[in-house]
Amino acid sequence: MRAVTKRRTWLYFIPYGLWLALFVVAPVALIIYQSFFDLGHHFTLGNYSTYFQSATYLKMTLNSVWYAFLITLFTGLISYPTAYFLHQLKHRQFWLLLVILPTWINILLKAYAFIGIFSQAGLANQFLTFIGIGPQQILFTNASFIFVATYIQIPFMILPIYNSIDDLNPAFVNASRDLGASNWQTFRRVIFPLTLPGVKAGVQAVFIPSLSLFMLTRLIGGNKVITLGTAIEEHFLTTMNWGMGSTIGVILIVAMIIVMTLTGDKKPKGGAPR
Amino acid sequence: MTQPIIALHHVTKRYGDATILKNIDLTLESGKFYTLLGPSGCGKTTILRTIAGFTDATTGDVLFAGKRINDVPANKRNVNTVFQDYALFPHLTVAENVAFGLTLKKTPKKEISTRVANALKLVQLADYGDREISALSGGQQQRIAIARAIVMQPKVLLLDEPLSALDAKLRREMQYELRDLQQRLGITFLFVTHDQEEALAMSDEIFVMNQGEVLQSGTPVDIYDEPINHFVADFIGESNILPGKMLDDFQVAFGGRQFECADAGIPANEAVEIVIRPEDLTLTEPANAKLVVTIDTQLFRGDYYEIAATDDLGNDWLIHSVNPAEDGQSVGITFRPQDLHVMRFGEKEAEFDARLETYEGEEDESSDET
Repeated sequence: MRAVTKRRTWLYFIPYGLWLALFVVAPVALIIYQSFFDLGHHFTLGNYSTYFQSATYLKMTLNSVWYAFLITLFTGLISYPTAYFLHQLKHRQFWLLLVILPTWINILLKAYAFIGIFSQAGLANQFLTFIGIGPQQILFTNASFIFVATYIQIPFMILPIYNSIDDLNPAFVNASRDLGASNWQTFRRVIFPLTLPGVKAGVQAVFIPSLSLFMLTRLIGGNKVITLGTAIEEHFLTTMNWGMGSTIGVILIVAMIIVMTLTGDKKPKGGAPR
Repeated sequence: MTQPIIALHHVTKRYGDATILKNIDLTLESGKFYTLLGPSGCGKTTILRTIAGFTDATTGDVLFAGKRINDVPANKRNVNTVFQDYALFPHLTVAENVAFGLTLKKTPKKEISTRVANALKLVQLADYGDREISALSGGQQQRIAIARAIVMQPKVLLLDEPLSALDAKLRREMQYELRDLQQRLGITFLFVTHDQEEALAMSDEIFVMNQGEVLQSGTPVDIYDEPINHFVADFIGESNILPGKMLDDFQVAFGGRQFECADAGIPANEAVEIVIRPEDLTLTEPANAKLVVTIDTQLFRGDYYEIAATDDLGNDWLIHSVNPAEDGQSVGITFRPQDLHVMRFGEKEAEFDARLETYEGEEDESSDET
């Protein structure tokens, strides 16, 4: 009886196991494997030494991290107040749906829409002309890249923050007020620390994909910002240097692991339960 | 009479069409243990939240030491609350939780640490300062919640069913501790519960509530011995409630017979209800009995037998007896005049108190022997 149940449970694992093996373990293994081969298919550590000795690659990495940081920062600054505000609303599920809605549209379509809006004759410039500033170069600037990237990432930050605010027991807020805390003190000392897990989840959901953004850098940023994502694309599709591309891929994976560790939940300190 | 520390004047609370509190008047004096007792949804927690400042009265005044505090926000009121689910901050340690209110007030560090240490000592958890909240048992969390509130040295401590999450044994222990704590600190406690046993054990004064109204207030003994109406009699303790008729002062008829009682001031021939507590009924020989009943069933409760019986007219009787009876047996029951309590239909507390005044002296003489 028990053996049968055990086998059944094991069967349920098959779809997930297959998915894990085919789409997670195998690609990562392939990337790591490829990163040890040069253009002539010889085993080498050269890709890594090139990466760490090349000022271009290191600068590109720094660039990626910096822009991902900026995108995450702006996304967070917009998302937290938005999530907090949405949670106070009466028909919050409806408003939340409106926030999520844009994620159903393909990122490329949204990028092209912004090209239209930001172009020389686009809506944004028409408005600037109307108020007397005159047309400006908006498209292909770093600012427009950060703007569009932030726009695209906002729903992924709002959702986890909204959920953590939703999970917050209102008794904590009352308790804080009861002990003499003003609204701001309650927010800083109780609400924010207790919803921090949502912020961390949001940072993970935004920072990591932002590290490897590449279509936006070209379409909106005009390739002025070269991120690691762009580098990988170039190596695989243009220079055909799969080894170097894989090496940068490995670097990205390591960066993700670092971010996950930094934003992960800390082990509880203090005494064990009695 | 000294200035009451908390007073509610004609407080009404409505949510849309629903009226949660109906014209509540109550006064709390300094240094006493008060209990709001009633079934869930009767509005007792709403009163607590109104005093704490988490909700506002639709109409009426909330006074603190004579000053109207309706518009004072919760964080500026000199009352603290122990919440039903404790609401201890999970991201802070025990000591940080207790110190929370003091750090907000920018109290010197040294003073904070001594006051926190004292508060923890008071709830007998002196060594627990460094622990995480999640590492505490329910009873310990409860004490920390009390420590966090009393460290603020409030004039009034509000307790919202703080014992409801504890097991029966711990709850009894905490009843002693809370009572003891209140007497040592000398601050006013306002305790909310639906557990009549808790209320009777701890309070100086109980407010019995139902459907947004205070039905009766008084000492536990007063409320137990002289419930104002069917609801209070039924809610507090166990009771036999029978329909009857007032014949004259100190004379009442029920169960087809006439009995001497301790109540007066009710017009003759008025329909009334009679309360007799099960422990006031004594089993006896049918020959010397006031009433004869047939035993239906009995349960052994440890310190007494709980006996269910029926009289000739079909009224059910509940009797607490030290000695067992036999099922199906006809036995006599007897009681003293002062064990009967007569309740008028629809009598308000003020009328009830006024009526009691008129014959209180006579009753005291007759009940000397108790």
